[in-house]
Amino acid sequence: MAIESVCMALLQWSPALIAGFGQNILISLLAIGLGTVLGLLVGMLALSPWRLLRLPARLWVQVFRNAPWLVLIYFTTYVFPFEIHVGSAYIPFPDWVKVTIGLALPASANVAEILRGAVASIPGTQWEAARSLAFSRWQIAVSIIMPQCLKRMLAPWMNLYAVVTMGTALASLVGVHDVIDTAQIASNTVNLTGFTVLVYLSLLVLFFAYCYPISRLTQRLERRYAFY
Amino acid sequence: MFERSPVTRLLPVMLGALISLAGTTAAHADATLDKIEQRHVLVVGVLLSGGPFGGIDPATQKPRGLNVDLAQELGRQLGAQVQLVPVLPANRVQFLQQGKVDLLIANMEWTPERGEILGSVPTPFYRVGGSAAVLKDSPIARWEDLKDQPVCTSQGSSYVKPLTEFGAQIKAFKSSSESLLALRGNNCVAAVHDATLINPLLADSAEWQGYRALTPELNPAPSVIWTRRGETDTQARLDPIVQELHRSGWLIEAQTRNHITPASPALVELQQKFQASGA
Repeated sequence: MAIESVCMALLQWSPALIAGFGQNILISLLAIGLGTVLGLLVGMLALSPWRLLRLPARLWVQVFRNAPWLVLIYFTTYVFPFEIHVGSAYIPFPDWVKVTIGLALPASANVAEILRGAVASIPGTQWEAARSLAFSRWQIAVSIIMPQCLKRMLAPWMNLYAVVTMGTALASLVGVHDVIDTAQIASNTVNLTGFTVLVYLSLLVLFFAYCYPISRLTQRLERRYAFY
Repeated sequence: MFERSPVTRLLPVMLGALISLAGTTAAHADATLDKIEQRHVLVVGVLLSGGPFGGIDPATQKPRGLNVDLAQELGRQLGAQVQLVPVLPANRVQFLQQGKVDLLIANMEWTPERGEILGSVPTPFYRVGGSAAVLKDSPIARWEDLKDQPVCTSQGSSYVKPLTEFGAQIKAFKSSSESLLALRGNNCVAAVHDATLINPLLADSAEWQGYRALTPELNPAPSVIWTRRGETDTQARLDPIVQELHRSGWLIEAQTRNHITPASPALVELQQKFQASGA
């Protein structure tokens, strides 16, 4: 009977939990998108032959790769204003967008490192061979090195995406109404110990069901491009 | 030699501007009331941690609870559209101070410490005290017995201070459900929360039969609507509204509607007080 009521409560709360998980997925997709664009930019700057471009890029990577994600999320949440005043209009700057930025920063640093690793994994002799065929540095990078890099980057990039998705669980700590927050509200409302345990178990299942296929696909891609 | 620096030359002008600015603002209401009246929007921070005071409806995912009802009622009477912002105990004061919300209806009881940094509407809308769930055969009979004992509660709880004064070792969890789970896992000897949470739980729930509540209520304190510090116009505007909600029985009805048990004797007391004083 107790188990029945717990399961009924979970069934009743499942639409709210799934809606909350949608928020997590939205944050993760935007964060990896923004992080990838930024990361590729920073990564290319870090490969530049000019020190003036290279140094800030290196600093960016070191700072954001070595800071705890939660600290970055707190930082973006409490530093940015809650609304932006443009003319006579007030444009709100919601917390979930701030969390997205907070996750995109470390993601960009990791993407930059993935790019660096991929470029370094291409034998240096290819640069020399291409140069002897009178390709410019830009041409070598864009038409010879990058196409090979993309394949090598795909697997670690997807790995990073899975990690970012799990990182979205931190959003509830700054008051974003995500799946963890929903689970907490649900367990406080239902107030049955069995339900509290079950609801966290179902979060585990939700995140696993989303991340496991990504990790399997990554493994397959890794095998395919391992010895190229 | 003959030229004064630009700043000193502008000084009289700036001073004059400042004085006239001070003069004009004095004629207006405070910033929050101005904003409410200009934008017709009332931004209220509510605590939606689950339970009868504030939670969400699992079917529609809309906020519900006494906090939410009160916010909507205030908005209706002020002729403003209500925007609800969910807050956490950790960030609610910050949200109010930085202007993200205009008011807080967030299970935040009045204490002298909070009264120093924030302003509040003088008439409380509720009064709540703490209770502790302990095992039936536990040796703890009085609050003083919690000295040097591990006690579970939730973060930002107003019972942390009195419990610390009893010498209890506080284990503060993110919300009440984690704290109660920890109590059942014997991580602490007692879980201290609002009596409106503990009493119905122990009375109605089969799985809590082996537990009892500790009386008398710890630190019963008035729940108030919080404003920014010094915003006396907003407080003066809201105070009669809250008094009328007591007098008309709206708050007692809202308590019943949201299944808050046991019914607060404070609400009846306040209703009688305002019915006697009002016409």
